[in-house]
Amino acid sequence: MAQGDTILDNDAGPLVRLGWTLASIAALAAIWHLAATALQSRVLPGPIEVTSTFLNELKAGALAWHLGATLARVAASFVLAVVIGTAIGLALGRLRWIDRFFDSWLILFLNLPVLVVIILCYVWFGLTEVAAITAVAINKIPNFAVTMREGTRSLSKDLAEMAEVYRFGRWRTLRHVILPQLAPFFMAAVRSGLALVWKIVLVVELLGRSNGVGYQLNVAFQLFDVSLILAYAIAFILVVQMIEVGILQPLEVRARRWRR
Amino acid sequence: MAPLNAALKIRIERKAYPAAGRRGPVQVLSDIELLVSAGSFVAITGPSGCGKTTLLNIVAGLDGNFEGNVVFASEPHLAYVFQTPRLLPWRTVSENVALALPPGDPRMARVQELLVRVGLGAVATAHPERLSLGMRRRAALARAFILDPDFLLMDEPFVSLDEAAAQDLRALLRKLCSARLVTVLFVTHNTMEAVALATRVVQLSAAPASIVKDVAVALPEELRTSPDAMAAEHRRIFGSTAWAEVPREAGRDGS
Repeated sequence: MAQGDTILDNDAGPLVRLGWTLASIAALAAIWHLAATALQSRVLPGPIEVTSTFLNELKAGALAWHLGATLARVAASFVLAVVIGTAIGLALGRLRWIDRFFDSWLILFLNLPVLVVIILCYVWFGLTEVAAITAVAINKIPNFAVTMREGTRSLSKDLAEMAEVYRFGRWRTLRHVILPQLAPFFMAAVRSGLALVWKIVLVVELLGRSNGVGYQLNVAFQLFDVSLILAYAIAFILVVQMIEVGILQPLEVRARRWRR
Repeated sequence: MAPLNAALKIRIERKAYPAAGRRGPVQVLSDIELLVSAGSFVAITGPSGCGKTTLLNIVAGLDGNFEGNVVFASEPHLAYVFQTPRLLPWRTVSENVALALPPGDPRMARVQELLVRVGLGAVATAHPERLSLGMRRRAALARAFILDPDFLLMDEPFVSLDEAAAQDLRALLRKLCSARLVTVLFVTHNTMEAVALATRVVQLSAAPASIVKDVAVALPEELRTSPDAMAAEHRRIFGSTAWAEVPREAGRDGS
């Protein structure tokens, strides 16, 4: 995806790019429509039927309710993972002995299957909100820690010496020297982290919550309501893309604006 | 010219870097003793890797792991111009200069004026990555001089520039230094540069470095732009007229 973006960036304006995007989405919808019309099957509703299901859910308020529940879980577990993962990563990057000692723990947690963590959390803490959010956070903390550890290790000694000679002090060194160096690592961790947290939250909801997009997908699965599944999938994609374009991309542009 | 009591006393009995791998500690400096009087401009020359930068880092307080002591006559206002400009790439030129000052310092108002003096008035709001190396070196000079330093440490600050740009910067440095009483320790492997700028030349041997030559440069200010006078002084100090780099130069900075 990223590479496609850069290729288009080089030879096309924003309007041309938007045109391509709309045309390709329209083409996909057309193919879907044709396939659904040809098959005439309950398991592949066409785009028109899915859109009407989507609008019905929207009107009934169910869509907002379930999406809201999912968003809240994503936000809570994501913030938890960012804060704890960043703190661990900074400690690992700065202190050699901590890194040596905890490296094997990190490898263990990085390789622990997502599903195992979720099930264990539900078994140990019950089918509760706390268990759900904890499970998602635990899955993401190691990734954050590893990325931030890399960032901390790559901090420039030259700039640290400069800040010391020119008596920046602790706070200004953090703000002007250290945080800008960590920002690209942080943004990379946020992006890959968010992409995964979304998906993990759905699994957590499917297994043990009574609201949220994941729960609703489970209901639709049991009713064999493919139209509902697709409607929620589309709503989900729209929200993720809105966050990507509305929040993440502007943040990244801000973080990079000094580069030429 | 200089007061009898030194503004800075450097005594380094021994400086070694810890063992790497199976080898023992690597000794870089041994028996260095320097008394520096206020207002003097001391050029420190010597082969690459002999420990010139280490010496400056010790004086700057960045490296406290050595046997000996460094004593300033009074609390120094110290600035350090590094071998690379070490500007913050995410801050503009003027922000980089202003950050050398404590928050709220009244000298903030003079940042733009100083940038104009060093020839960066037009690029004050640019980020360093957009500037040439020569311009970044000018910004590093401005960052040092905004502090009104009484001690200025410089580590080959004009290396990797073409000769014309280096000459411009030397002239700029002389102008900035003439406006105040500043004591300079200037590391260079370029002996011509040493003669052109310094009032005193200290030459170090290869590592473990000790002082092999310590002579005053007898060149009045008005003759420092005269090639003949400088050639003669260079011959007197280094025994040759060639603007050669110090012998046994390892070519690390040989561009």
